[in-house]
Amino acid sequence: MLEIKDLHVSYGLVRALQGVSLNVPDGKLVCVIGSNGAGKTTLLRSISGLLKPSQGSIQLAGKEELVGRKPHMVTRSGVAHCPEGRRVFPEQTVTDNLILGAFSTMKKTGQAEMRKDIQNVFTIFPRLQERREQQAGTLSGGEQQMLAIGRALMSRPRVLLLDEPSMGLAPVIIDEVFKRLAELKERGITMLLVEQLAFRALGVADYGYVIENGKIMIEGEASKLMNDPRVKEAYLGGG
Amino acid sequence: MQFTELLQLLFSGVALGMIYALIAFGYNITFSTSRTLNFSQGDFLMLGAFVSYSIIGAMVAGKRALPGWHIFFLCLLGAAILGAGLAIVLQQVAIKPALKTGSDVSWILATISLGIIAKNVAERVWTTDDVPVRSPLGANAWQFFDGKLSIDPREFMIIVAAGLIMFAFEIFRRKSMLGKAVTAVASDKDAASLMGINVPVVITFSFMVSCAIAAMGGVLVAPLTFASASMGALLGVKAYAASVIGGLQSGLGVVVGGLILGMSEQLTARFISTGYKDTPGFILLIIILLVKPDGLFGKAAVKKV
Ligand SMILES: Nc1ncnc2c1ncn2[C@@H]1O[C@H](COP(=O)(O)OP(=O)(O)OP(=O)(O)O)[C@@H](O)[C@H]1O
Ligand SMILES: [Mg+2]
Repeated sequence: MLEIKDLHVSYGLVRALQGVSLNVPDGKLVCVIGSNGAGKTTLLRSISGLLKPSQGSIQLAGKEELVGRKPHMVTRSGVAHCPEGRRVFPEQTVTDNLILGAFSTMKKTGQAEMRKDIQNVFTIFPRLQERREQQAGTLSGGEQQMLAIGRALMSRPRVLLLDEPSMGLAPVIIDEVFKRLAELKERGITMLLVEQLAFRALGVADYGYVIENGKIMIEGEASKLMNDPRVKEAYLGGG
Repeated sequence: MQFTELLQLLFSGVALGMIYALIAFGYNITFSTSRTLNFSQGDFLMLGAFVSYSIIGAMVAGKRALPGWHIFFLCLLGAAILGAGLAIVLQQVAIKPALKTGSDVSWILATISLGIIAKNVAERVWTTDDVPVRSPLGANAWQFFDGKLSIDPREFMIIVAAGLIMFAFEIFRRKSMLGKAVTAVASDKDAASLMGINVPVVITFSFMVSCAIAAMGGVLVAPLTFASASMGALLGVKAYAASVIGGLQSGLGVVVGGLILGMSEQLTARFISTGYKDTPGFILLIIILLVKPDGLFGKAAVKKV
């Protein structure tokens, strides 16, 4: 579904990504794990067009080149990005946030389908339904994360990008978030998850990559990576 | 001094305040989406006033006849279209390049310059004189309580129409998809673009709305003050003061700021001296800048990374 080849991204002199290649097959959950500053956010922001790679290609469904597209056009091609730090619209209600998630598809699908999608998100995240008229900024961190994921689902994405959904959350809430990700996977949603919590991410993923200093160091089946001594050593106790 | 006279003064103050509020409301809209505003907003108001002068002159036979409501709405529409159209030009030549360089000075100077150009063009296209513009309600005061209370219908019109225009935009902002997108762009541009929102287009749209509203303000105020090429400058500055008093970040704040300024002007003119009518408002402005720089209703801008 998503194929990245030899991606290079720099911030001025800082070379944040140096030749990253990875593949997200249809219907799979792929994770990229790495510590602070490894380049995870940079990778996702480049895919969604918020950053311009200096080199490399990002192919959607084997035919659409995403490099060079503006972020709103990338979203319209079917890539939803649930950003680091959640970034819900704090002054708007939960429902409005979800409606905005459907901005790119509303014209095609129509009002009725959008209402159905909102109900669908409420089924996945029942807590959001209770709070649907509340301002998003007043939600707890965990609820905001659910909202951010729900909002991303509203565009009926072909690929869902998730940037550290565990960030700043209590362990029980992290459990819940990962349970939901597992459910989304059951529904057949293709996902690219980047995480610091290596073992949690590998626990739900099909396939994993380890990124360090902007380079992919290790890759393999998630179940194999979990037992890889190099991963164990680097992320001892990490989730 | 009678109670009815006070009531009349306050009414005039509210009418004046609503004009400031209308212009300031436009400042708030573009400031929220782009952190910039159009310092020639007053000149857009002036253009709106002249548009209604021309439309009424062309379509109403006789020098005295009152324009019908359909003519009045045509004036509003004409002003709004001209305002929105010129806003695209303003945004492309003055705002967009400045946002790229990130320099505040350049958009401030560029919008002021465009205002000066608009004034000069208006002097050539229309006139350097002050010209009267007729109101559909006429100019004869409405008498109440055996003539103890008289209300100027043109002021009544300003209050009602300006209120409706702002109310309509608030409904639009809350209920429509595009309106929600405007709010989303105002709070987080990157996140908005991830929703599939074309952020630059929404910013341009916010300028179109803002300038259209100012131009419609000209249609409302012209019957009271006449239309003149120089009418916009001072109104624009005072509306800016109003928005600083209320808080540029808050839609409600700019309206309250406008009303405070309008009423303080009317009351000072009556009880102290017309020569000092602008003084209290600007003293208040200075106090606000010193003690509460975000304005009465300002939320300290939430910094987003
Ligand atoms: N705006 C920026 N300007 C300059 N350098 C940046 C910028 N953003 C990120 N970097 C650098 O790029 C590198 C990768 O950063 P990135 O945010 O992608 O890391 P990350 O893996 O997401 O980290 P974290 O787990 O802390 O979120 C880091 O060295 C960082 O300092
Ligand atoms: Mg990150």
